[in-house]
Amino acid sequence: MIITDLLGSRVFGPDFLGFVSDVRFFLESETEGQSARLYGILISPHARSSSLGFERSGVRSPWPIAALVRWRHRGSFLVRWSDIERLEVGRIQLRPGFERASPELP
Amino acid sequence: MTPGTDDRPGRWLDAQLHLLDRQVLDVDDVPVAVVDDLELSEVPFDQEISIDTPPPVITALLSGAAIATRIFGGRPPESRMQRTPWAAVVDIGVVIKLAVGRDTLDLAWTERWVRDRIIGRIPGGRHIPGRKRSEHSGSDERGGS
Amino acid sequence: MKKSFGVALGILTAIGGFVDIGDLVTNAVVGSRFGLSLGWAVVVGVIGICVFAQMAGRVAAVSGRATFELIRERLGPRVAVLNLSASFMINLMTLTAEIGGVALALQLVSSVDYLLWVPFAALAVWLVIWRVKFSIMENVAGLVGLLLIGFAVGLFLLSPDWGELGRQAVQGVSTDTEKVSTYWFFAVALFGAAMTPYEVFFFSSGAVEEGWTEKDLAQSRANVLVGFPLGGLLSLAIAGCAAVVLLPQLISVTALSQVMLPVAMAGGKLLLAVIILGIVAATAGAALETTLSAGYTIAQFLGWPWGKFRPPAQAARFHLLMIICLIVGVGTLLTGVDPIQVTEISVIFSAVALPLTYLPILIVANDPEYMGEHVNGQALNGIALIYLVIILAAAIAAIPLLIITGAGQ
Repeated sequence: MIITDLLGSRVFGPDFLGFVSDVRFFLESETEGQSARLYGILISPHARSSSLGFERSGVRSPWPIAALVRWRHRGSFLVRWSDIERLEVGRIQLRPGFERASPELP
Repeated sequence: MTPGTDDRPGRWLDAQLHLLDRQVLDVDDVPVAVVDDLELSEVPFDQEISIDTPPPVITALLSGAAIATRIFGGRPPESRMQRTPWAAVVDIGVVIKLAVGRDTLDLAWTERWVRDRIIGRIPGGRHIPGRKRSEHSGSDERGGS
Repeated sequence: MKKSFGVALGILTAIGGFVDIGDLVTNAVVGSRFGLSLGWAVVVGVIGICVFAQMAGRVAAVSGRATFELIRERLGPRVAVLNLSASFMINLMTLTAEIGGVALALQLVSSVDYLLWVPFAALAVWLVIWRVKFSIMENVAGLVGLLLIGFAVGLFLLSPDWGELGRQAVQGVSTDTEKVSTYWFFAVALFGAAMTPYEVFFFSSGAVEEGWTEKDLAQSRANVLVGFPLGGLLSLAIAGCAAVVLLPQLISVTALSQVMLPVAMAGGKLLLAVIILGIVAATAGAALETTLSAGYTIAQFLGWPWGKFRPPAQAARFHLLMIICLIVGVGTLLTGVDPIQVTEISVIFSAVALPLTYLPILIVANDPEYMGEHVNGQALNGIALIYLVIILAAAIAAIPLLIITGAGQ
């Protein structure tokens, strides 16, 4: 699997929820050779792609552009790997009772 | 909403935000590629994923033909992907740094081909512009000062 | 060398943007038809390029990343490749025109046919790229290009009615005979020339070539604040000379020799010789700037090693690409096209490239991951946002104006 197989996929759970705008990984430490494990997928109800790197960072300026990008990604959420039931080409099915988590990065 | 990260020590990476389209530098800080795509370990596809299936990990940075599919869509043929193993990555910041030299990577073969067949054969092609051979250290320093 | 003339990068960058062969003629055309009434477009352009080049230089100094790396990283490959295509066409067309410009200037002094000079001009450009150190290249081309100050000297020697020139500059649109659309076509052309994207590609990559770091931020600022206003001044001086001599006599500018006519009248052979030398250096400088920009943009988009601080063999694809561009440029010129017309068409591509270049620069200049404490202040962001609106308006207006006016005919 490659990452572009996931990005932009439509996510259902059972109804249409949005598009995969990004994929979150966890790296246990930054020393050489550590594996980066998939943690979850970020779902954006309106926007098909991540844009300009604003929506999850603390950067708020220049404000009109930052605000516009945040608005495009309003209602975004993260779903963990364990809540993914089925992967298909361009389509992801979530398990019943999946949990929505915040898309913000620490 | 619950937080989308947890308190474990480590580093959170969002593929688009931190990895895709970033410059990759080799151990000498020479650019070798841009991250065009990421290869993940295999997971069940087109079938139900049982709840205890471990999540996939990143196995390689992809470049080369992958850029065409990023632009025009579709999927790159397996044979045309140039892979840099994830294990070679040592630092992820504004750029992604590798622990290995460019000559050990298959992704720099076009650079080597052009160097050996064309540019290296033109007189002066192996000198830093404006420097004599004796001053030439061969490493990657700037010619500015 | 670097410290002895620390603003050479800014000057060479600005010369390539403001007084390359296309702009030399455009400025004289504008002066001969509108006087100084379009001077404001140059001033607006100078401020705009200062704002964004300053950001691009600061990002390069602090993070070591040149502009096209940012474009790819922030806009993603699809939008970036759109910008890359447009920017590459501008670079290729401009470098073609500049080689023609060098040849035209050499023809004026040698009376050897221009087409015979074309291959030699291209070869000289390539040899400089291949063998000459970046800092020597920028110092020589930048300093000799400054001989175009001769236009300002010429303007003083003509002892014009300064009041009248001032009135033209303040009044703005005052043309009875010229159509409004033509006036605005040239306004957009002058603004676009001032802000042409290869300036930031070259300036930011040059900052990396020179190995600038956070310690060099003051030098980066000095380069911007000296270079671009100087470029704007040269541009206004050329228009001013044409406004004083050619406008009253209704002489329309169609060739490089007419651009120099007012200077010859004012300062005789000596000043004319100075100007011609200046034109050779400025067009050669612009040829170097656009050829290197063509290499920089593609290498940065695809992650190839680039730069004159490396031996060519260690930036092999970068050098091969520039060789191909020069060969294509020579081939195009040998078909007999008018190099000045080539630059006029590149306005179309600016409409795409301008917004897609300046937006990512602004965004990264605000990103602490790249910039740490050196992120933009609020005032700079405010000005930059106003400029993004102006750039967008100019980009949208450019192509309709080009078609309506037949490129200002």
